This record gives sequence, C-alpha cells and structure tokens, in this order.
Amino acid sequence: MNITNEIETDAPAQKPMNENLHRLFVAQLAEMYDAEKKLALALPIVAKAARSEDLKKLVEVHLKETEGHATTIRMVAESLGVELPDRTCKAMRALIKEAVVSLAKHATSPVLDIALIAAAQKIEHYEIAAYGTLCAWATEMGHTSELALLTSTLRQERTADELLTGVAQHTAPLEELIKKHILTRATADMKP
Amino acid sequence: MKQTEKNTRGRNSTESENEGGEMSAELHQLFLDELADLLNAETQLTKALPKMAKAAQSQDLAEAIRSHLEETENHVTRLKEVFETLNEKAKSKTCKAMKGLIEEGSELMEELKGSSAIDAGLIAAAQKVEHYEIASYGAVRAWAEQMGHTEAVELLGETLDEEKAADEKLTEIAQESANSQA
Repeated sequence: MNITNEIETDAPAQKPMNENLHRLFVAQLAEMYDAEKKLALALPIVAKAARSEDLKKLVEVHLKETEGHATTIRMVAESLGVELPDRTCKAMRALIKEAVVSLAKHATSPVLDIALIAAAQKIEHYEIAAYGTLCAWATEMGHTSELALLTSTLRQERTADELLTGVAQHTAPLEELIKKHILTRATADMKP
Repeated sequence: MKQTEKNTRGRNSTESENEGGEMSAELHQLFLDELADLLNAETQLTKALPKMAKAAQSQDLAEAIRSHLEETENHVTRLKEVFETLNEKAKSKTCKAMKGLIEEGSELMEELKGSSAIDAGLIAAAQKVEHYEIASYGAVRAWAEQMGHTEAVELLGETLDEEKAADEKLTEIAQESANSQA
C-alpha cells in the first residue's frame, strides 16, 4: 500500500529514463482517445444496419462501453496530470472506412451480418493490441491506478470480441453468451 | 383453391432454397474478397517489415521481425495455395486497413528516431498489425470451415497460429526489455 503510494507520487522524478516512454504513452493515449471517439460515431450505423437482433444488441451495448472508454482515457490523462495532444488515429479511420464500404457493399446481401462481424472483430483486435500495449507500459512505469483503468477497458474489448465470435457461430442467444462469459471470467479472476 | 395452396407452398420452398443457394454463393464471394484483401495485406507487410527490423535497437527484436518476415513471405504463398485448392485465380485487392496500420507505424518510427523508446513503439505497431491479421485469418478460417473447405481450413489455420505466436513473441520481448531496464 505504502509502496504503491510512493511510486505514484514520486514516479516522474524517480524514473527519468522512462521520459521517452512516458511521451510515447501519452501520444498513444491521445491516439486511442481519437480512435474511441471515431468508433462511437460509427457504431450506431453498424447497429442500425445489423439484421439479427443479437448483433444489434451487442453493438449497442458496445457503443455504451466505447463512450465509457473515451471517458476512461480522459481520467487516465487527468490522473497523470497530462494534457492529451490532438492526434488522429489513421488506423481506426481506415478500419472504419473498410467497415462502411463492406456495409454498403453487402447491404442487401444475406451475408451482411457476417461481413459486419468480421469488420467489427478487426476493430476489436486493433483495440486489444493498443490497450495491451498501454497496460504493459503503465506497468513498466509503475502507474498502478491508471493500469487498473486501462485493464478494465482491455477486458471489455476482449469480451466484445469473444461475444462477436459467439454471435457469428450462433452457439447460443446473446444473453446466455453474456451470462456464460461473466461466469468464466469470474472463475478466471479467482485464480491467482 | 387447393391448387393455389400447393403453388404457394411450392414457391415458398423454392424461395428458401434460393436463399440458401444465394447465401452460400455470397459467403463464397465474401470469402474470396477477404482472401484478396489478406493477400494484399501480407504483400504490403513484406515491404514494411525490413524497415522495422532495421530500425529496431535490440538484436532480439530485429531477429524476431526478420523471422516473421520469412513467415509472412510464406503466408503469401499459402494464400495463393488456398486460391488453388478452391480452383480460383489468386486475386489481390488493396487492403486499406493494413495501409493505415503501416502508415501509422512509419510515422511512429519517424517520431521515435533516436529515442530510447523506439523498440517499444515498434513492438506496439507490430502487435497492431498482428492483431489485424489474427482477426482476419480467424474470420476466413471460420468461413472455410462453414463451407467445408477442409484444405483451406488447414492452410489458414497454420498461418493463424503463426500470427498468434508472433504476437506472443512480441509481448515476451517487450517484457524482457522492460525487466532488463528496471
């Protein structure tokens, strides 16, 4: 407990060699902030286009989470006492563009949902990689409370990806998938 | 009346058959489109990876990128094989997402030139690329399975495993370098 507090208050002075990593961390945070905001604008279009009720519901739930992720990034920045620079996430822009093109192309096709799920999973994987990196850097720099915030986002991105796989495979209705997922996660969390 | 009923039923069953046929024809086309996207993505990557290997500071990272370059060249060959097993001509279509990912990676490399955080940045960019591929191969593999393309499932599964292993290797390298600096 004491150690944690010490690291949090003394971190910048204690680890000057991480200055470059700190700058990279802030830049990546800013990029993800832009990515999440872009995604929050795109997801309602996907939800509206989706044919199956489960996919629609899942995208709507993830839209709420996505809005929360943007807030979380602002909280991380505040807690570090940094201002986020203006950055554009080109990769997210390209991923969304690809998703929208695919949506338009398959708008009347029976494979629309399948195509939407594929596009959404590419986006989720982008975010899983990005937050995975941010969490690793937060750990490295001893930003404990920021790590907790970023980890909760990373978990939601992973869950969204897994639920998309479940909806694609029609293994069970969404609600059952969610219940099963919460149980699995709770058991996994209990392990040391 | 009876006749009409029979006709209606007849038309319904034809409709649903048509829909099933249309579904599999369209899934097949979606599958081919995604393969074309991946073939282009992998080819773009074979050009980007040597630059990343050159920019890497640690020997371990440079080596991991070079070994993944070899795998990536192999993935190109494997995708062409998948087209062959389907009796389809190999096609390539510009993958805008990979283009965006690589562009972002090059900008990051430029920004971090001479910085001690260059390897951390390279690993981050590379893992985004790996995750893009994991999602794509995951989708095409699932579709191949759904359509009963056994050989394609095997080939795509091999690549998927290599992409996942490459991602894990990058995490390992990141952790080792963090530990050695601590």
